Amino acid sequence: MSCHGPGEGDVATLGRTTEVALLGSPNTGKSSLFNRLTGLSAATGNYPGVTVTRSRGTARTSSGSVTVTDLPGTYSLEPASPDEDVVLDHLTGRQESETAPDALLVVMDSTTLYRSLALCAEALALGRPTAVVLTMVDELRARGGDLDVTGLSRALGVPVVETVAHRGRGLEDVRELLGEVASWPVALIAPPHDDAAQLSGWIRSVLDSARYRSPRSSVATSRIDAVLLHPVWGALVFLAVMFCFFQVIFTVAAPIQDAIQAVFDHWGEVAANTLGSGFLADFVGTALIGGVGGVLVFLPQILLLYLMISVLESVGYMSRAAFLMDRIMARSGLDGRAFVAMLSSTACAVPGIMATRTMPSSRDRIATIMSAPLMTCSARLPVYLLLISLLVPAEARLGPFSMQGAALFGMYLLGGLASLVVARVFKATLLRHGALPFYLEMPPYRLPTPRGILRAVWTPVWMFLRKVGTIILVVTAVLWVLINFPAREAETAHMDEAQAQSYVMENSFAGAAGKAVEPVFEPLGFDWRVDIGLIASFAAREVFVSTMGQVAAAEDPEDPGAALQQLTYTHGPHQGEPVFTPPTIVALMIFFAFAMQCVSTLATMRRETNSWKWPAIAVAYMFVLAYGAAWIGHEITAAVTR
Amino acid sequence: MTTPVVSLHPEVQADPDVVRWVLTGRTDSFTEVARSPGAALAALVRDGVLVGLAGGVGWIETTLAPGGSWRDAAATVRRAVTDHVAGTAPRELTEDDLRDLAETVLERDVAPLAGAHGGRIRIVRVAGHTVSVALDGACHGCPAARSTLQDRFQTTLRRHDPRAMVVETAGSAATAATADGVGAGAVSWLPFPRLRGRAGSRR
Ligand SMILES: Nc1nc2c(ncn2[C@@H]2O[C@H](COP(=O)(O)OP(=O)(O)OP(=O)(O)O)[C@@H](O)[C@H]2O)c(=O)[nH]1
Ligand SMILES: [Mg+2]
Repeated sequence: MSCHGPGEGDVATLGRTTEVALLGSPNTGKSSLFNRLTGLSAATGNYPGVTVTRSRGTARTSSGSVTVTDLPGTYSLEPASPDEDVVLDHLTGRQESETAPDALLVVMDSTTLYRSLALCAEALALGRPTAVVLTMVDELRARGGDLDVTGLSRALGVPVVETVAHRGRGLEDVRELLGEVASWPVALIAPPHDDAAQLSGWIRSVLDSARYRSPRSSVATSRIDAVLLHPVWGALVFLAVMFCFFQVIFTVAAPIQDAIQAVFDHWGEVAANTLGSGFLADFVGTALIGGVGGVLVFLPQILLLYLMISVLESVGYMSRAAFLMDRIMARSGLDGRAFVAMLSSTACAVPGIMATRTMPSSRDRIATIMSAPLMTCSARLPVYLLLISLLVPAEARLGPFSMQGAALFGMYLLGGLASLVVARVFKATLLRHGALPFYLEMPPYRLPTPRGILRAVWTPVWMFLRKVGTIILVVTAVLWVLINFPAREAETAHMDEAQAQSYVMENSFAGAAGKAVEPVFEPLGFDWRVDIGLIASFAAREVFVSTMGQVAAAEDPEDPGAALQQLTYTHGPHQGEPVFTPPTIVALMIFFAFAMQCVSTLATMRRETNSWKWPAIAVAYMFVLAYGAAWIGHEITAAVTR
Repeated sequence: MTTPVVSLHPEVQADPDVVRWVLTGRTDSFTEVARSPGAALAALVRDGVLVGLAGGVGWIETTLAPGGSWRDAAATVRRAVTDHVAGTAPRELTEDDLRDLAETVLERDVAPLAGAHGGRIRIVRVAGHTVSVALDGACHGCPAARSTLQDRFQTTLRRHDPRAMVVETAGSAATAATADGVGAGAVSWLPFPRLRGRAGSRR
């Protein structure tokens, strides 16, 4: 028989587990299904283009385990953007490190079956063993649609199961199906996927056989969109929601932060009492509690930030924000698609840059990659929070609002505006042309599941904790050594403790380094201790906070909180005057807003643009921008506050 | 030449050489296809690509010559079937057509449902536009199952014949138009219909 040639269509089970690829249009629930099947935590969200890389996991079935690969969503197997390349690369096993999948599990959104079937036709034509999972059947039925799985299965010639992927309904059927992967059929006759008229005839015929009744459009969604997509109201609502969010950061997170701080303070006392006053006590008191602890206290704010991002993503707001911003983005020469990448960068620039893979135009893509690192990422948050608390008193009000919250909102706005301007400059110079029509699907609003939100918050929070426990801890410890050595016991013998600490720090290795670069940053008002923090923050921005914590704890072990405020210049024309004046703080914040201080971002840029040229340009322009804007900010603030 | 748009999809039968082209856009019978195939279909038979043609209400079956491969032939056969369908004017269903259709629908759509309820449903008689059925097993005497089955049967038939009626009779099996009432069976994910023998032998 023609269709059962050796090897063809047979699932190889010898020596390795069967490889099954999840293939489907964007936002159909592939990653939700993947997470349920494998117990892993791939990112999900209610907008197209959440997944841009592949991830592999193992699904247990009744008859052994199967390796499942989650892929980016794709509208067709003729890739139009780098994320769709990933799909084709995987299906064809083009990358050397990959083997082509043995079988395809096509995931189709049952509420948009017509479109899903076009991709399904292409998948069937590949001639691999195939099965189909239908998702969103809950929405289909709730909105008055219906379909008959048996009829669909018969028309497609492959097994079909229904699921509600994100809640795990129908999951047992999928497992059972995966267990039988060796007997999945290969489509004997490829659907006419390359002839538009015949393809639509095929799709209509299949839908008819499945007695498909398409769902009504969601009433709730169109009502909400009438407001949220309104050019004026929509933008106002967006800004208002953001503004309120930053208020919440201060009103809700600050008390929790104080509680954590109190715990650390208590530990500090316990440590001081039990360890006495040797090097170990100093290490625990300044490096661990003052330094690392100083970063850790911002956990509540980080958690809130990710909570907000994940709610926005899973409700379905990302596509709306992109649509709203499309007009504003047009001024920068980019489109709404780029805004999704920029909004993702408020978590971290790395996923933000990765998200540009969904952009079809490579010039737009590079312009977005170059500007996304200016968006305020979560690593900048602790730095801003520390500096804002030094600049703005907690009681300061702006009408009914907290002034600190307004200042933080301003920093995010600054980052956003800067990245738009930079994108505009790149589009007008190095990356001209390349405009393609903007197309982004608008999914219906969906209620997030608690489980999904928890996972979306826990993953980055855990990464933050890990970062604190690894790189931040290590760098802080190294800095402690550099700040406390050479020990200078002879010179400090006759001094009291605080004096001795200051003397040691000033003459330490770190002190020497800080003083070496001091002239460079003098115009911005930074002294050598700030410069130590600045240099160290190139390892991770949060290290600036832990370094300042160490400096403060060393200066005044009794009350490190007030120590920073009272820090004075040790020499030079301003000797004796406080360091953390408004001009210096403003300059510092602007510097952190614009400087490229993240190695992972550079590595990601290098990988995504496939050259060192773009990361090099980014480092250069961002440093110039950071220094220049910080100086201007310093001068203006000085003029205003004098 | 532009290909006319005809909604159709292939369904593989138990015998992989036989493919049923389901014409969901058409509600009339294609029993004539074997006797008077369209030019392109006729050419495929003459050239020995296809060795059999059969038709029913809303479908045409094509049988591949031994040793042939659908991979090579499918596109041509699809086009030939499309041409044949586009070139045939729709005509009214006859009583024979309706009986044919009722059997297919019963087997494909209604019997699995009845089976799931632990019952059996069979066709007793077809007259005019009326299909009389009898219910046995658990369905018998269960009003809910009864109306579901009857409803499902009738709705499906009406997609082809808007005047079709399904009525329940207490009639005995002696007058049944078909002997093989299809009964309880597992609903499988690939329910290949076992209709080929019957469809091929009629004529
Ligand atoms: N109502 C409903 N929502 C679902 C279902 N499956 C997934 N979702 C939601 O649909 C959205 C998209 O899910 P994802 O798993 O991220 O989709 P994806 O196919 O991986 O998307 P891309 O990676 O962008 O291609 C999420 O908000 C899910 O919670 C389902 O069966 N029913
Ligand atoms: Mg995904």
